[in-house]
Amino acid sequence: MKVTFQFEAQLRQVAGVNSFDVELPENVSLLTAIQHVSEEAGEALRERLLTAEKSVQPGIMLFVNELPVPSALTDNHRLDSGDVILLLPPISGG
Amino acid sequence: MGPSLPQLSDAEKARYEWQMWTPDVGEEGQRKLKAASVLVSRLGGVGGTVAYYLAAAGVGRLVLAHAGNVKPSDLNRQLLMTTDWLGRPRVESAERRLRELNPNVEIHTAAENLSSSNAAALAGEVDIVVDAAPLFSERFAMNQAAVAQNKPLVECAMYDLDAQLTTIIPGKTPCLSCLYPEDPPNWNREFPVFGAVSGMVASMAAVEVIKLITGIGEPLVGHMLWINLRTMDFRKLPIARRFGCEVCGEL
Repeated sequence: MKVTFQFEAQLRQVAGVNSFDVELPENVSLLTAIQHVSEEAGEALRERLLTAEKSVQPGIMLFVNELPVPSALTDNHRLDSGDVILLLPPISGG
Repeated sequence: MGPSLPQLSDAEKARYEWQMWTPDVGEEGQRKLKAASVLVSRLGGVGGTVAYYLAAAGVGRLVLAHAGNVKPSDLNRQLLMTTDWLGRPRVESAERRLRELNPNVEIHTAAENLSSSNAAALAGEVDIVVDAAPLFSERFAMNQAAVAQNKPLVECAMYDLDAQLTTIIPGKTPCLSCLYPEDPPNWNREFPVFGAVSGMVASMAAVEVIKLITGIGEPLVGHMLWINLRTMDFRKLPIARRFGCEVCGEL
């Protein structure tokens, strides 16, 4: 199935793209999808996305079809074909 | 009209005439603004512009916190800092600029950044807190104080041509620690930004404060506005409280 990843702010800058499609097995979890993208990406993006334990970095807000998914539930959240996964990294004032 | 609200002088009525024409604001709304107090931390591209618009709108008392002296690299976005004030305290430049704009506003400055040692005292002086600080340690201290004192916290941030905004109502909306359970790794306090970008989200944050004070419109609660000015996409995303949040979980 095909899902779409969208990155903003620092993640977009490191990835070099705002949005891209990924082919994944049916019924894959959100965490597995992010791990898959991280494996395909370079080291810089992988470090931004995943901890050493391969969980999603704290502070990245996750949305699927513009609905929030708590980072603690990424392993339980199953994706459907056509889902749009938005990753928002932490940003600050200044 | 509340009897405890301060009266407006004729000069104030003339100054605020156009904004008092805003439906549901009127003279009563202006008196609410005059009675209100707001903490802004810090006074950079975001916070300085928030403070400028709140002073322009006639918020009665501003508490402004920002350590350090004006640097050349501040001047692309920090509109309260001026070239002739380079090397001198930021809060002095800010106070001078705000007094030039509106001498009716009472200003209290603190030449320090927010931390766990001063956040409660500074937040205790005001009705509403605006977080425009770059370091998560400062933001967490402000969030903790705002939640403990049950005060609204307007959160605004930017990076590159992106910006985000949300208004936190303790116990009702996610707090900052719900969104960021810990100090994010890989965060660099210096980042790319145009003044027009920080000023854009600052203007929206000032509107949020004005809405909270006057009661007009609907504050951005339970949602985060994420703005990508490269594409001009504005997303209003729902956000959720985090189960077991150490800061607001008991509310």
